[in-house]
Amino acid sequence: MYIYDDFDQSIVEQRSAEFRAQVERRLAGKLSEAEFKPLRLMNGLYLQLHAYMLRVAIPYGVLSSKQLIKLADIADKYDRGYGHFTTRQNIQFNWPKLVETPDILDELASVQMHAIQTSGNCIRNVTSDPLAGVAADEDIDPRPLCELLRQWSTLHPEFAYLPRKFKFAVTGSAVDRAAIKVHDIGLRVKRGSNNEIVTDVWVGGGQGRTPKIAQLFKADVSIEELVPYLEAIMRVYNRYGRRDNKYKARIKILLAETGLEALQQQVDEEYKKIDRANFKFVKPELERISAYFSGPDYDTHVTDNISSLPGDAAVDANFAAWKKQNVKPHKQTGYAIAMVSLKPAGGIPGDATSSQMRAVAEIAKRYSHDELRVTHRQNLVLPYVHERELYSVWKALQEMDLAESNIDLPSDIIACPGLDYCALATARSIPIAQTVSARIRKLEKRTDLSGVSVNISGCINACAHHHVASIGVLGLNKGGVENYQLTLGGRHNENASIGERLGPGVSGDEVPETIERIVNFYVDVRTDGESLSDTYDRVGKDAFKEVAYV
Amino acid sequence: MSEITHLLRNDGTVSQPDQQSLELLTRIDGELDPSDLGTVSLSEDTVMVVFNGVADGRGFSQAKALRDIGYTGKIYAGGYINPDQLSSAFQAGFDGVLVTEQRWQDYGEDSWQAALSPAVGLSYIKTHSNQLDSIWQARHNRL
Repeated sequence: MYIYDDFDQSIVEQRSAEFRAQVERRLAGKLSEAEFKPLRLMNGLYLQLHAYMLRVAIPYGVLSSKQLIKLADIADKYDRGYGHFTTRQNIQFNWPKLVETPDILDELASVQMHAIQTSGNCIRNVTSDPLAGVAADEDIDPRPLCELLRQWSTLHPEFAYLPRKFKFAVTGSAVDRAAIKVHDIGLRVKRGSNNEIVTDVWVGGGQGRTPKIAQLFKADVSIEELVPYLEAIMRVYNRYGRRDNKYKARIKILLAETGLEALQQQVDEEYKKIDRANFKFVKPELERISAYFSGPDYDTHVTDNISSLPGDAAVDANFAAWKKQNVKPHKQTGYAIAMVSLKPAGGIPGDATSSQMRAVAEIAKRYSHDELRVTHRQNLVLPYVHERELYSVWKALQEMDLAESNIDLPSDIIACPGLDYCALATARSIPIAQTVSARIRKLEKRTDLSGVSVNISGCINACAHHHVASIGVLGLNKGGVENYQLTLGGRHNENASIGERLGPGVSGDEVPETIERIVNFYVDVRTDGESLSDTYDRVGKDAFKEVAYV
Repeated sequence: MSEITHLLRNDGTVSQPDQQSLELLTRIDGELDPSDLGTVSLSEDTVMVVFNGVADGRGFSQAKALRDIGYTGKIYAGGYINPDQLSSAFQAGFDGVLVTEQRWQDYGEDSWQAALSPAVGLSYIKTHSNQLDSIWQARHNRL
């Protein structure tokens, strides 16, 4: 993984010192809350329902054991002993005290971490495929480009006060695990016709109250052209993105109102004006960064790994279930990718206690070359596990209640913090997720439900990505009562689609039963290999509506 | 609006601007469509881009647009610029920031002076400030 040099370290330390001074000015009354707000937001600090919340970046989801241990220490020392992993590969602490946040930033800087631009109207944490660099189906490892973009966007003087927040996601696989088509800019890195590395640039995806799937803006952009081209897009957005209405300020609206061709022309004109000499260090910098991602020293002495597992592994049905569901194919023969579920049935999606964080960090240290990943679905990954160690890894995870065999199943629910924490929420999402997962986990054990995903948002801002789940749940407030709308048919992958609202909302108590009826109907009518969204597209809304509302 | 009393330059110095010159200064509204910047006379010695709010970052791109149309004179930022934005302003191509007495007092001299030490911070990319190499450049210079 990437290691900071003295320049990177200076940036985070200076930013931390700057924020300390800003907090002091705020506490001394020299900054009003209105003035302090954009400054704290650019350092990941929100003011939520009950307390401040600090969002810490985990750039493109890559984390070392040492860093995870530091996060656990922060959870214990400054928070309430746990953290919440988010869909955008961040971790949130829900109870920090304002006066202590500069100390937290210093602690983060000591392990090459930060909270820079995890909020505010700027370029946010660049996210990526959590299996980057290890997935068997990958074309190009996107992590070097992600790190390059992290540096380019960090404290970019022109793009710190954009019309609205701006999110990048990058993937190097045809199978999209980074949801690039629901980001402001999604990048698909691949091989060009001459085997050179090129990037397709997708623009204008997003969720919230106006969900949009990104459009292919420019195909096959060379590495040399990419950063100045992105700069041209950002400059056009900064100038012309709407500032009169925050709900119409994202680039997806600018694209819709301007039109694809006209916006492409504006960007092309801007691109022609850019002095390319300013970007002459992009390519050598990318080469320098790439050296950090050459991968670990793999043990290539491959024997019969399965028979080298302990004897009881072969007869342990729970281990078999975990291996089938939570272990993914690795590009390196003899190795596996072990997914760590943060979704115990009935648990809080994406939460990990400090003890769990330390345990996973130790497991990564022993079995996964000291490295972990954070996923879009709010889980963790051990990316470099030798197959012969899988049983030991599973046993260690099981001891910490981290071995639920439900990765990519409907109980692997994405949920936002909702009304339990969030100042924007209109309904609770965590308790709904808990009751749904407890109920649907029983179904999963009886039949294959790998074609179903459930995402639950506590307001129209859609932080849990309910629009792109096969079953989306949106919590609203109707006359003081929580009410949950269901959307069906969404997809977050390379065939991304926005789910369709099924009908009237239901009460929180009715959500688990309603979902169960929908899932049972899907199981009854699906054809081989069909996901719930495929079935929905085939049989139509009315058929699902009939079973959902009884 | 109170009188402009301080000119903060990208070399870290602070001076009192000449009031008569300020009156004659060409002012460019931060909301002006950049395509209309062609109306700005390229022979002007100095222009001021006026920021309409602390969260409105269009002025940063206005400075870039002015350079793009061949303007080589001085560009000052005015209006709603706060100490925390000085470094970005200088990196984006502003030669100076004009501050009213009211805003100077509101934030306090300490905050403004602190923001000028140094006036231009580190940046990964090449900026319009010639005072520091970009990090990318500095890295490869020493390789």
